[in-house]
Amino acid sequence: MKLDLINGIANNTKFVQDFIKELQDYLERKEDISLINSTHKENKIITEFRDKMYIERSKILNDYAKQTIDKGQMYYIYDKNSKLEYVYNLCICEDEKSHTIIEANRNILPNDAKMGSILRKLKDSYTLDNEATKDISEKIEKMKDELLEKQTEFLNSKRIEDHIYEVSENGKDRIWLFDITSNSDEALEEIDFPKELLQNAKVGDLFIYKNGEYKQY
Amino acid sequence: MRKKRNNKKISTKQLIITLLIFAIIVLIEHFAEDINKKQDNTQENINTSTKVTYSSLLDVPEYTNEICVEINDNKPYFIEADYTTEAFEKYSELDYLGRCGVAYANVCIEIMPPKGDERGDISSVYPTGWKQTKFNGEYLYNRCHLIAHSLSDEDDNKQNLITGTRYFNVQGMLPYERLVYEYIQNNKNNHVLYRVTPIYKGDNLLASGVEMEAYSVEDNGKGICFNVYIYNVQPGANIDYATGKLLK
Repeated sequence: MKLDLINGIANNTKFVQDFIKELQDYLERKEDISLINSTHKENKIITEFRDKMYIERSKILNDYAKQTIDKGQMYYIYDKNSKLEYVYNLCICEDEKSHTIIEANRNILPNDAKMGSILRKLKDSYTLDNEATKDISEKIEKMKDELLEKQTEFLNSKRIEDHIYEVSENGKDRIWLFDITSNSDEALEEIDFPKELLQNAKVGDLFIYKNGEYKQY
Repeated sequence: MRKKRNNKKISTKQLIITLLIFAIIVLIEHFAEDINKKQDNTQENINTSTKVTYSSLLDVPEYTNEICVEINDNKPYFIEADYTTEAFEKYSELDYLGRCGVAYANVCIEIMPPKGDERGDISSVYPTGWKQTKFNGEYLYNRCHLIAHSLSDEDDNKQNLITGTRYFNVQGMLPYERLVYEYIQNNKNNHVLYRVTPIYKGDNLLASGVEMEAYSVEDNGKGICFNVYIYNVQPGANIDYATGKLLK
């Protein structure tokens, strides 16, 4: 009964209606995280594979743009602007042009445009290409899944039983290690490191990989 | 007759005074020239390593053995409309490959860190191409500020950090950063327009180098004026600029 009363008030008050619509829009647009960030499906991504994802995403976009050139110049919303509210960062999906950053206010973009959207420009206005957005989104998702698998294989290949690792840098949620047993010059960005050891690990500390985990050496 | 004698005396006295004044002027000018020469020598020490000059970035060749070359006869591309005594700092958005763009500031005491302030932790930032590797027993890469912390008080701003070799950071950028820093310390009310542009080839994630431009506003570039390109290299290291990987 009380709810009916509240609903009644809400439905009849323009201010409340506007507020609800605004809130709904906000929630649907809510994208706090850039598409390429340090996690994918709750798995941490190491820098090397994050960089690979950047490059592969670029290839997916530019290839798709070439194949659908008849639909008009293709734009991709890749991030929110870091300084300006309600502004997105767009790139042009075309070789030699894609490094230009276009800062576009939400007001000039289609209502449903958000991070990951594909837009086409006709004359001076942007339109949302829903089909391309869906296709690209699926391709990027598949690419990230594949790279994440490769990342797992890569990291597993670097965790060698009985090898000793020296801390190069402690990144709070990850740690950089040199495999001194194999005298490797390339640091390993380890994301699966015991939390209790990570808290106190300092540059120069040694750890041994034993029975599938790192232990103080 | 007496008058003549008096005139002779006066004129000799006058002559002596004139000569003394002249000698003082000459001495003052001599010392002033000495001071200017010392300042020029500092600039010259940097310039002697950048004798090669190119009309634009497009003409800059691959690295041979000079870490730094001059662009546009060492003149920055600022125009009169840019000259201002208003402090500012501008950092470009990262592009869609996550790379930094131009960093541009009007360096002055206002934006610099207070004396004794130490740079904060920047280890949480992983610029594109970051691949920590040892080369000749030392780390190959630094996280390099486009606008140095000493000039901007910026710490872990990911729009101001690129992957750069230790050589690039210390031998390349640092001398020019120091010039600007010292100029401001000696001219605390002055401003230096300062712009650093990372240069990437194609989709490379590691910058090939940076263009550094600077111009002191109040004295129309007499104090600070340079336009140089610093190569992002480590002598002897074969780097894959597409990824930042050290090739063997």
